[in-house]
Amino acid sequence: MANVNLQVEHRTEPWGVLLTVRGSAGVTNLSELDRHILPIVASKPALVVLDASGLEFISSLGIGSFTTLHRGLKPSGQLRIAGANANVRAVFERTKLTTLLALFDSVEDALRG
Amino acid sequence: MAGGQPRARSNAKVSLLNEPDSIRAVEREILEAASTHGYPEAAQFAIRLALEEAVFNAFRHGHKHLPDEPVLVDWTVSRGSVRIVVEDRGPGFTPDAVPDPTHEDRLELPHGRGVMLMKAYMTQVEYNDRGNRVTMVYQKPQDD
Repeated sequence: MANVNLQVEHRTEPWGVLLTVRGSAGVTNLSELDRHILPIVASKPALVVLDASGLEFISSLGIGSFTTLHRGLKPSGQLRIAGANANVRAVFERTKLTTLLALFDSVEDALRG
Repeated sequence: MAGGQPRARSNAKVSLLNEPDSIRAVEREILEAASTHGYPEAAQFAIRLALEEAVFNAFRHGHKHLPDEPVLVDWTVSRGSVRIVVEDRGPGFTPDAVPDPTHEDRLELPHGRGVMLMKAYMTQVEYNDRGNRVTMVYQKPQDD
């Protein structure tokens, strides 16, 4: 398992914001993720799709950052998770965050809802 | 072993500082040893997750008032299991008193999932009486 750093980008789209996260959302590198979440929440988009297809690892802190994003978007906006690999998806399932956040196989599927 | 590949260490006792490079280094070494011993990707994910949660808790909570103190990590990787002990110098805590983070009232909180994830991903997780040392074991399934 590669122990790569976290790369985060976000882009405003006509439908909302595409947040792309690659690498490891672990204890040593979350400030980069949090740096993107604050302006996204401030812009109050109706929809944020998290492209997690390049996310290799996530800890409880990474989960916490996405929970913060989810809470920040309420009540008018929502967060959808796209393309998470089996290990990352399992963390969302074990923490029961799948009851709050919808997971999709791809960004296209997430946009279709 | 002239000319051969250097073998990853299978055990070590490390005094870990609360610095990203220090944490990444021990993580990398344990995962390299696990890989050498044939632990699959999902197992390595589980081991890394539990290690990160334990180390984070040790620094964030155990060493809340001891920011410059190191945390001790004692790890052993063998063909059948991985054992990791993380010990801080703090006052300890009562793990059974940690609220269930999957309860609907706590689902949206950004914290409080570390202990639950350690227990979910490792075969065995035990704290000492004081609650400042956790011993975690990952047993490799036989069909791995």
